[in-house]
Amino acid sequence: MAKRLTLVLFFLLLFAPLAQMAFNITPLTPLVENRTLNPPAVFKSWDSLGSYFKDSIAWFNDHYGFRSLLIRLKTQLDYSVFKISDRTYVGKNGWLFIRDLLEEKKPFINILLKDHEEEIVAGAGYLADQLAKRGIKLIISIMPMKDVIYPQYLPDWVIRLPNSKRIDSLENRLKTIPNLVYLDVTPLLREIAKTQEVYHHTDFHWNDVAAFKVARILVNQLATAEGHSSPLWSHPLEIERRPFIGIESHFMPLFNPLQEDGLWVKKNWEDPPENLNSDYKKLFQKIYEQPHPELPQPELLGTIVVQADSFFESFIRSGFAKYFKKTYHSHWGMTNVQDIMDNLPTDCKYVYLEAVESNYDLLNFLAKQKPPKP
Amino acid sequence: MVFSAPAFLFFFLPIFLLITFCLRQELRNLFIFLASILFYFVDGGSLTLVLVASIALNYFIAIGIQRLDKINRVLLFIFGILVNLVPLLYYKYSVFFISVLHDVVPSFHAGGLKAGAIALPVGISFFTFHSLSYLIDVYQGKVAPEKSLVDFGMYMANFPQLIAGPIVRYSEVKDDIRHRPLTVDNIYAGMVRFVIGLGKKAILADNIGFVADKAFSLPPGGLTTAMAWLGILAYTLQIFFDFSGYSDMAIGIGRMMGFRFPENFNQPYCARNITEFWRRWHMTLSRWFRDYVYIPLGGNRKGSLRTFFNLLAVFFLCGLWHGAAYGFVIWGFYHGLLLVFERILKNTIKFEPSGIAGQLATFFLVMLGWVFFRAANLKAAAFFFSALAFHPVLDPDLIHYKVSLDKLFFIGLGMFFAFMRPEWISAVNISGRVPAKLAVVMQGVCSMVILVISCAMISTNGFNPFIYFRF
Repeated sequence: MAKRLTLVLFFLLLFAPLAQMAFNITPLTPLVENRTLNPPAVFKSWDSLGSYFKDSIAWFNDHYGFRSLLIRLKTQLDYSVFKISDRTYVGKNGWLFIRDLLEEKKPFINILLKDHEEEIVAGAGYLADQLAKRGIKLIISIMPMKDVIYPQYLPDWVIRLPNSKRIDSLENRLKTIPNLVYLDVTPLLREIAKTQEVYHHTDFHWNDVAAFKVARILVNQLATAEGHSSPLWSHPLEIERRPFIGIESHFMPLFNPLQEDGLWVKKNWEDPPENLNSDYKKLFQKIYEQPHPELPQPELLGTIVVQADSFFESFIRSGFAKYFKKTYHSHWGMTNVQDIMDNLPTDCKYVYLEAVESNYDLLNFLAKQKPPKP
Repeated sequence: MVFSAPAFLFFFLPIFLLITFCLRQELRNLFIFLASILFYFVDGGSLTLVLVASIALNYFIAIGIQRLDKINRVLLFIFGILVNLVPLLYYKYSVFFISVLHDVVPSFHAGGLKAGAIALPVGISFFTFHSLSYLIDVYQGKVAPEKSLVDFGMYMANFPQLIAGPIVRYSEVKDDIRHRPLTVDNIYAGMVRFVIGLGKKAILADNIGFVADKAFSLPPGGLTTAMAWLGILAYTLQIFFDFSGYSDMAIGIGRMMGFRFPENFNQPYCARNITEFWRRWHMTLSRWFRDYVYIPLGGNRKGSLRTFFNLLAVFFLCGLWHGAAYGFVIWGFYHGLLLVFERILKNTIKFEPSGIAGQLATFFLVMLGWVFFRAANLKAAAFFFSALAFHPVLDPDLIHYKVSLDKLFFIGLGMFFAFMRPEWISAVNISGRVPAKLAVVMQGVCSMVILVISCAMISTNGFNPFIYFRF
């Protein structure tokens, strides 16, 4: 009897995913994977039957029933028993750190800089000069990851780069390039961190409050350079707290996800509207344009073109675009950056290149900036 | 499709078993044959024709061998051996042989032929050995050729053992092919065995393998001596649990279908000498080489020197069987040399390694041999050995990997199970000490827990969140 019962249970467990797919027995919270799951296979011809089976298996492996439950079970076991996760470092005081960034991406950039720092610096200088000839100011900032500002919250056993990072050397050299405004974010964040947290606990991004303060510094710095007598940034910082489950928490899906009281900026300003009909829509994902940009607006900074990653979106959520006549925003990986540089809007005054320190795209782009061969 | 894939666990296997259990006995072999061909086709694609052709050719050749007279019988037998070896040599070894020729004679050019240029039919090493053993046994009169093409096709293509063994001889299952009643005891025993195998693979091998993969992927300057030793220890455990786990799953599924496949592993890391190791590791392969290569070459009946040659020849072939690369050949040769050395010790000073010291020494030697097996090439193997032996100069720009607590736990757990002697397993068999029903209940509960945890681990392998989508 016991054997039969065990066998029944065995087959119930094996059939459960199919039953869940067919009848949706239990509604389950889907996982956040930030990727497009494999679509259903399409039968094209008998010749491609093998491909059809492979695609079907790939689809099934992404969609079988109770998949999210099983993944959460495994992650929960790791977390509850070992305080560990395959994808996230579980740090002290509820701080999470994505492992891939620390174990793979940052070391990769470190090696890259070992061999290519000269090219990158030379490229940045060349680009700054070329833009300056057109009356455009180049701004670059490389954002530190959370472990730079809060190394004390990393687990004791975590891998760290043994040497001082080469990114520091690169930043110091970029600061000395004429015609280039290098926004050194790290010391700014360290200063802000003395009075408030600057990164999310459960997400690798900085929080909007930190971004607000840095954006304000940048805007006022540019305004001073343009001859404004008083700080241009006018809207005050109002902080609100909201429950937040960041991407790092999603990367270790638990039955009860780790969440935090996130720091956010309360909106007390008017953003310029998005221009959905601009001729530049093919190059930029977002274009913000003040009403009547053709009129002189001395209280605004000139047009800015931004090539950035998701860290810059905190700038937008802080009201950054309010202070520019036009803001053209492109995301790394979405557009060919060289196309943007070759087709800058005629009224462009600033080009802002922003990337997090583990982002290869910015460094690769700068390294490629060279005078054309005769 | 591997046994530890969701598509197999939650789609193919339950539907296959359900249909098998519901079908009349007369139709089961046909169904298993067709399902096995489908299983093979999913990964093999058009190369399934190689398997189908092998089935058809061997079926007819075996019948011909039985019916023909002396000379024609011998010729047909030789033809059968060649017709089985040629595809194996072509698909698996031609590129390697050409590259060896090029290494020996640099002026010889391969015409751009590189590793991976010829698609390899999955499991060709296994089903070739199945068919060779079948033809040899028919030729030697040990078995009569199978009369039914469907039954023979089912034997050759039977998916549990098709891709990764055990190497099942026709003589071992011929009675089961014709008559194998489905009983609750068999299905239950098969289920338990399958779940144990799945647990070995998903819980132990995959977790331990993470450390091995890391160690063998670290570049010069990034691999510390400690990490090198931990890495090769991890690989030693990974390959055992991976391979024996797969065998357990194959034996378990076979048992659920009513087949009694031969055992393939018997706690090999408990071996006290290399000779004993090869009586415990991949036993079906060892027996195959013993019966079809070593003994026909003369075995140990023609003096010491000939015995040594035979051992080296067998293990050279054994290494080559595992893979078409220098590393596998050297690994095979290494074991051959160890066996020769043991024979010399036994013959000259009557010494045979034994006891705990023998077990540790054997484990250590086997572990070192796995470096050749795992390293990507000879250069990587040499680098790894140097890291094992000397403290390498570390590159300050590289991170030096540290193993997390959970992986150390699985390595410890793996060592516990790997070093468990068979007699200890028998000693802790509770069925004599607790009521039988309670023993079954406990076994059932443990099996279900292992099954669920294994499924959770397997599911996480397919969880690949992409960070740069929103970076």
